[in-house]
Amino acid sequence: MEFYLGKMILSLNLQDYFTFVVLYTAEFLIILFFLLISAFSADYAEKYIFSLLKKKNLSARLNVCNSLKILANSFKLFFKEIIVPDKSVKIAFFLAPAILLISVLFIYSLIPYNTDFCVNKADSGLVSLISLILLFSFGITLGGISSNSNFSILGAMRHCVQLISFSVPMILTFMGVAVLSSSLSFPQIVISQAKYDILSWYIFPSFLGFVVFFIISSAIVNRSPYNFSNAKSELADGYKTEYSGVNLAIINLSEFSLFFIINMISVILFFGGFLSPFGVYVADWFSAGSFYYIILTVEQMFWLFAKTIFLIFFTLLIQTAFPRLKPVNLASFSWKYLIPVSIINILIVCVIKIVFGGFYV
Amino acid sequence: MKPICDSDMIINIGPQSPALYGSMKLAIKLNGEIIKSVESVIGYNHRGIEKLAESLTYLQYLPVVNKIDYLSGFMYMEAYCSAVEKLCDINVPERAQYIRVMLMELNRISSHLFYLGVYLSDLGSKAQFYFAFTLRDEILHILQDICGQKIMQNYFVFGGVKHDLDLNALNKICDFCSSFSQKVKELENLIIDNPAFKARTKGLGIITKNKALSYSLTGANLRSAGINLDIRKIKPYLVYDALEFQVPIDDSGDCFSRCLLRIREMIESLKIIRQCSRFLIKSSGEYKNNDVNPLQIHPQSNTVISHVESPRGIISCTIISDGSDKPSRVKWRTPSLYSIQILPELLKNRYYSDITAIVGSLDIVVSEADR
Amino acid sequence: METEYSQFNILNKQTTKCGIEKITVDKCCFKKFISHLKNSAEFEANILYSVMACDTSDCIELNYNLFSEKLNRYLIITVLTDRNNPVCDTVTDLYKSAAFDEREIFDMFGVFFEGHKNLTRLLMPNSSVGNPLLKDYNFQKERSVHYETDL
Repeated sequence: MEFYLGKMILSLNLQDYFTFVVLYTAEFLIILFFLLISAFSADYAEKYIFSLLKKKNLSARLNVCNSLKILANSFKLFFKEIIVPDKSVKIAFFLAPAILLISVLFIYSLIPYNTDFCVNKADSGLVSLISLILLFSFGITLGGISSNSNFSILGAMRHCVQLISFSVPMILTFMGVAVLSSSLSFPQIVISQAKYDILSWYIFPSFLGFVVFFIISSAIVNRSPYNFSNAKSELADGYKTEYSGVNLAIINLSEFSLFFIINMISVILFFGGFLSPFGVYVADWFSAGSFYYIILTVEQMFWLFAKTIFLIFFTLLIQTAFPRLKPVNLASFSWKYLIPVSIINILIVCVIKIVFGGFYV
Repeated sequence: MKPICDSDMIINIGPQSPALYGSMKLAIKLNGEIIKSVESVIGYNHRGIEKLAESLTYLQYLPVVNKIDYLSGFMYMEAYCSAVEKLCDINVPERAQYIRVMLMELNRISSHLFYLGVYLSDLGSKAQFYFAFTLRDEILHILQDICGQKIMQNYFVFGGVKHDLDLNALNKICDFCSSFSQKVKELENLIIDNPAFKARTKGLGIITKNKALSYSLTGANLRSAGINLDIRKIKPYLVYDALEFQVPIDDSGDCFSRCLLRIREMIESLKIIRQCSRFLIKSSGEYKNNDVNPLQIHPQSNTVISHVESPRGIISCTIISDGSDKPSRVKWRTPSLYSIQILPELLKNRYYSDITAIVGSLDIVVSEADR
Repeated sequence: METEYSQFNILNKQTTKCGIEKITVDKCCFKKFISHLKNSAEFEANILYSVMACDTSDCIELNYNLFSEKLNRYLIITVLTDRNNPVCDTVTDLYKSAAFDEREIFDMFGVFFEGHKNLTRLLMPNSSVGNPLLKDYNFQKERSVHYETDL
């Protein structure tokens, strides 16, 4: 995809400097489009799961109106008045939603969508991911504390506790995947899962790591059963209480898109990313050429999004079933259960890598 | 900005609160996540129900009684009607008594389902909320077919009920009983086998026997502390002495046992409804005492008290009459007022996240505490 | 039981229409009477269901509804207070459930309870004037509209 994009821009015959600018602007717009679509589909999936509980009939659930309602809700927030609380620290109050959106956009640029569209092919993608997820949590804490109201501060503090408890198991899980793939960059991680189709996906050697990361993925975005920082019945909306208008729209947008993108990262690390589980693509029927190329692009993106949506549904089903945990139990849960499990996962992964070194991984 | 961790923070929950208790304010002094002191403020929902009685006749006051508590309207009607019937020596025919008992037990089940749905949704799981409320919807449809309204039904009169139950309604009730008995077992298993729910509620908010008696708690709150006090068994009213049912008791006194006891009470209420419907299908009799003229109630100077077991505790209605056609004083003893009183002691030195678990488990309805 | 009770000033004893015994006691020693009933081995009045006040034209009548779990019996203790300056002893040290009841009677009738730790208005707003449940409460005159700016 990047190949064709580059060809189109080169044909415009601009100067060197400008081609880069136009190329990266185009890629940024594509990433933004993905972000909007993924936030929209995550929101729609949540509403779909909740409508299953209410026993509505199917036509009422998959309505066009339901999807337009989500767009209308976010759109109307742009026209609402921005109420800034008097006691708040105004610079940090306006900076926090920006930090959230920027960190999520950066994460979207790290992901390989198919074999050659990856905006940021850095060799240290996994490390950047860790710092961006921590930056997101920092943005939430900043937003909560700068609002300077009782509920926001409580919500931000709880999110801090969650951040501290869950960052160490997350890093240990990433270490397991890095050992298996001998590299830290995302395109390399996906390609090294391509050897034996579905059997070489990293979920089989590193199953414990997937379990830990699944728990963390719903905790980072404050999904039940870990949503103590924005529990409606205890704190009125947590860190989001004082936000209104555009700020609230940006916070909601980045929350839903982070929910989507964390599941996509889970897919990339453990389920083979954009690779098809059967090893063959529909595009193989066509001979090499531009037709083959376009269909391969679309199909690989389809696999990526389909696996992500499957994981999202699983997370949402768990969200509806369990009551939430207490934040006091969080640190003990993390240190007593998650960290030992992830360390055992690293040991298993290292053993598998040494024993089956050449032919499996 | 002052450092946040050193000073105590004061947080208000309510009176407009996302949790569905009603309009009550809890002013909490927090130090970090630990609660130092709680002050409960009520009175936002005060409608002057007791003062209203002094300017309305006995019959005019009857529909007002229904609206004290939106969840257990039949119990309040029964308390008021039986107090006036004691005052004026009015007999209630047997068929009317069975109809009253059956409707009161249906009301008890629907109130407990409301409590369960709201409690579990406050703790964070939405699925149980919809499960409990779809079940409650079935009961409300049955009540709408019988009485004409889903809540605040206004169906009892002095000496009986407004109109008779026909076979159609009884068949619907029997169908409901058979379908509900399986679902309530599912509900019970949902709570017993749920480790997240148990971790959140077991060992929390323990009420000892002496504390429960001293704060005059009644209902499931008292029975979970180990004291067997149920007005339906100790001083039976209507036809409760002829019906076979048990009263579930537990010993632990924590939030988990209160929730479990209310589910078991639902199962016992189902038994009562089955026995009543069997009687009503076979019997035929008067549904109302036709000698009563409700417009001509002039009782002598007297004091009467009537007690009823509602889903939240014991309701008592005291009527002091002075010979005219309006009561001189009507006093309502509502159980939620005493559940609110025990909150500061239960919540002291607990974590902030325990508030929803403890307050929700006591089954407080603020509109009956405020009257 | 009769001889025991003669040490307390019992003014009247009657049975109400529903069969509950109602004992009227003098104001000075009703608290000793109630604590005797609570601690006595035969009539363990361990639950105080409610405290009720009623405005008769010459006095304010306080009714304490006691229940003995052991004997399965109700009992009403009545105390009469002066209407112009109603003062009474509190029973919150015997039964903790009386705290809200006495606050409500203070709010609605104006009876002052000596020894109560937090005697403030319960149901009416703190800034309101007058006691609503008295028979001569005038709705038109004694009504205050303030906006509370407390906590």
